[in-house]
Amino acid sequence: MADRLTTEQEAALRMGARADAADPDNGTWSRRRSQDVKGAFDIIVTYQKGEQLCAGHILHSDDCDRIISARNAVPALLAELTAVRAEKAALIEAIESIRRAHEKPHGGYENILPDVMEAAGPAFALAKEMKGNG
Amino acid sequence: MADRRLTAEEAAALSAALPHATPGRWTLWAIGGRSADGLYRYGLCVSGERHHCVGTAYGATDTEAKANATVMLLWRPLVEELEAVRGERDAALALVGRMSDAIRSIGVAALNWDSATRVSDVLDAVAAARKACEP
Repeated sequence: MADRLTTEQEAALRMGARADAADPDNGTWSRRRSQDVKGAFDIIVTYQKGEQLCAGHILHSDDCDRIISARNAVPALLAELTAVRAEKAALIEAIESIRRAHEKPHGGYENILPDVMEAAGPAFALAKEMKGNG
Repeated sequence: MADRRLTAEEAAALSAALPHATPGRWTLWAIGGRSADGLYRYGLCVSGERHHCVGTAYGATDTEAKANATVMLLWRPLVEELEAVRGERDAALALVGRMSDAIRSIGVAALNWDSATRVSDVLDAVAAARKACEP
């Protein structure tokens, strides 16, 4: 089981991925140009969204590409993680619903079926929808 | 649903980007301050072992450097959590499928109500569901 990101970590990650972006949604970070001033700043990173271009961080070359790749991937990763967490939670709730229906006093197996079937309906519909979208 | 899923190639590229990173073991050191080249920097190392530093994040300001360091520190745990949650989601989906099969079969069996073994299928599925729901 992987360690879970805390809320604070997620927020920090989101901020880090978007730092310096004037309009942080749907843009892309990339190398703009190399610079060799007094051997100090190697690369200027830019953020582009449509025609809008703004200069961003000034990075050393060592880990520049890694940082750019990670920053560009973070929004999609967080969005997918949020979606998959929600899917899992919905499925678990559906399973729990079936379990609760099954645990109710029924007075005989023949009486279990209607309740369980009723609880199972939404779960099966959810599973069918998720398989259709997967 | 997410608007966009990472491709296998993207996931592989991300996983390769920081090969030494172990979730939960990384930390920052050499906090803040401009170095001789005028940049702010954060070193990334295995916790408590400075000589194992395997990455550095830079920025024109301390805030920028820290933002870059944050991304480097946390994206791998993010990828690993996503993979884990995907697996949990898929397991839950498979479990619902099992329950669907079991309940469908008991429904068919109920027509002539020779259902003792079919009921055990449902009980097994519910027991598995309960176990899957345990924290």
